[in-house]
Amino acid sequence: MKKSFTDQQIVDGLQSKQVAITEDIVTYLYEQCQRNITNLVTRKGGSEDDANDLFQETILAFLQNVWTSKYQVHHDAKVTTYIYGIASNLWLKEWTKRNAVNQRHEKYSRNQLLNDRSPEEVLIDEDELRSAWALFGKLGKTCQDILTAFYFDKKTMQEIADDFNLGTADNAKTRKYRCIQALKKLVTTP
Amino acid sequence: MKRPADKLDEQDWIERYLNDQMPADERTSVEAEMNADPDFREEVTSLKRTHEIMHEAFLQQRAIGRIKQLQHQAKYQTHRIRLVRRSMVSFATVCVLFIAYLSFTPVSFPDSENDFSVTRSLSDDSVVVAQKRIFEQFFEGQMHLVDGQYALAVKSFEQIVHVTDIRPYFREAVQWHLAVAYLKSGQPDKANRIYDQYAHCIDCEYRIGLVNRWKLWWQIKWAQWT
Repeated sequence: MKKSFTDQQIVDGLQSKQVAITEDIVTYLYEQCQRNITNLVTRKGGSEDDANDLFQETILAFLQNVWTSKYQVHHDAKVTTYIYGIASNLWLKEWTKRNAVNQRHEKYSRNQLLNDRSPEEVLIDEDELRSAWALFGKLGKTCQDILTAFYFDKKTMQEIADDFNLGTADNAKTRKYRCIQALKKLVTTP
Repeated sequence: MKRPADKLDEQDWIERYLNDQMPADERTSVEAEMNADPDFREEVTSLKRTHEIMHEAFLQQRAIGRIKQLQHQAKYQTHRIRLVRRSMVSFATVCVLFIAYLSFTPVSFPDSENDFSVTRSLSDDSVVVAQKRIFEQFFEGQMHLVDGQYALAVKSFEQIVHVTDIRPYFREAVQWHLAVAYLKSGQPDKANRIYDQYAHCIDCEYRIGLVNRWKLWWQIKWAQWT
């Protein structure tokens, strides 16, 4: 059965940072917003694949904004409206980038798009895309996999050593230590 | 347990503290160490933040995985709907074209045997004249059909049908032509009667192709309905 959520339940569920609830909420948001975002993109000359990519980026930004409390539930700004605002903002950037060649046309359209945006959309920050995933993605692939195996899949050091051909559990532990240090450096670097 | 001297072990120690996996007295030791050493406090804080980021990254990874799965399903579904729709449109188009073909192309019969032995059991010399007359009447009827003089065609074919001593092959050929003549002259019921009589005949000699039989059947039914 399809689950539905109120705005408050969405925010509380995401704040809980539990995998199952996050997946349920993301599924709900997909059902609520994907079509509108696809329409937004295809109306402005994008493809369905563009719309899919944009939706993924939008949800990443939304999760980040909920976790950093940039988004809080207001009676006058529904979650779906807010998400649509993020999507418009991101698509505007992408669209402007693509149309940079034709400066005059670009300028006109930017004004048009800006005029269409609601006040809360305008308030959405520029750094929406600085998500945890983006930071984590800066680590090497092996580091990402080792940390995921240890912290998320709850594998033992010996299992990680076997999976990644690291020899002993001590080697795996050293490797994990270095990976954590690397991530810590990324997190603390402004 | 005291603060480990080794950096790796120290990280494990802090992680056990952050994940609430140590007894109360050991927690107290960690907190005491944090109060005593600002660098250690900084280390704990930054490791905590790193863990949070990592957990958020895992959640985002799962969220993206879920979205991709949903998008893939939607794409597959859309593809299937499009495929079914296209197939249905193609099938409907083929049906319409086939019905149009059945409706608007003329029924064509096989060529009749080009001999005068239309009748049988007539052994005297007078038969030649009689045979010739029936044969000519048959082709005259065909000519009327081609010329669009359907009433005359009906008349010609009906005259031959009434001849009793006629070979089955020619009788059947005349009956099929008569059915068409009836149909064209606005008498579909009569055409239908002949069609019913000969359409499912097993031992008939004058064989009509299946498509032409369908054409005639469809055109008779259409004339009866309209």
